[in-house]
Amino acid sequence: MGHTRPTGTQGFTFLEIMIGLGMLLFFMVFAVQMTSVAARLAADNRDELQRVYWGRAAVEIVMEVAREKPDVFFKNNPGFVEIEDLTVGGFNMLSALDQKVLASIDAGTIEVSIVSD
Amino acid sequence: MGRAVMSFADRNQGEQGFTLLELMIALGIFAIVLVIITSVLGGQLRLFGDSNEERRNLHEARLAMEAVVDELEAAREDGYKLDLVGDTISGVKLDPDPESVPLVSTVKSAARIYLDDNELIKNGQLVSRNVSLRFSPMTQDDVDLRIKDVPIIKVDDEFHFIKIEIEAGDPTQSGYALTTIVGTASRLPL
Repeated sequence: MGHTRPTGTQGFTFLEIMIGLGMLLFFMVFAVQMTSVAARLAADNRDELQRVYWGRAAVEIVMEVAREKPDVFFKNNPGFVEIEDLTVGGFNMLSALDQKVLASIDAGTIEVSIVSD
Repeated sequence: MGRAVMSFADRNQGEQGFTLLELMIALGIFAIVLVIITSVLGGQLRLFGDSNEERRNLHEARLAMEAVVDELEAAREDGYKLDLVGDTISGVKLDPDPESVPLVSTVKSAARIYLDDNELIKNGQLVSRNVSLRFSPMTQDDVDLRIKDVPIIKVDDEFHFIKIEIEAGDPTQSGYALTTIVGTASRLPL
């Protein structure tokens, strides 16, 4: 009986108007949410590609230093070391990378790898 | 059905209809809804356009970076040691016969990769558009590397790195910037 209009009158009931406005609000919020999700995905994609190149740069640097100074590099851990800090021009590369950089040497062959925590 | 016919008939006789006030209120509500929809839609379209532009710039920057890095890696595999002279990265082959080869340049030259009016050309083929390159030397003060129980290892003058920065479009808007670092030593076995 709540949806029954009074006899002889036309128009929407208060409940119908509220439902309509609610749906409109819901779709607007939904559209805004979709927009923000799309923007966040684009930002993640942007960060991910740059992270790939930071990873590449980290491997490059560690490999070159290890090749140049293997005696210093693997002095205390002949088989395996974890890079604790890698700063380039004041920029903390490990923080940007957000992954571990490991180096190992086996029979003169140096291997550098990047692993997730 | 009968009621609808009656309703129209009644309206024709002037007994029913919307008043001017009702029409104005309806139009006002319609205008408000239209403005809201238009602003939301406009925002979406603008975002869509920016995303497209950004994706295009990302693609161009990535192509350019891959082309430059691949070229430098190939030169190092061939036994070249890289050097940075002005805005050009060139390779010098030390063994068996010294030979200098321009590899990457930001000015049009005989380089295998060069930038001509923001177009990156590799071996005569267009690789990417709307890009700019910047090369910076990394000196011994630039790189600190620390391992557990080992003092900070400083990169000395015997070997160094080159920072490569590539921008596509305007990074302050929907442009895209990529940075990486390459070593300069030859890849030939020590």
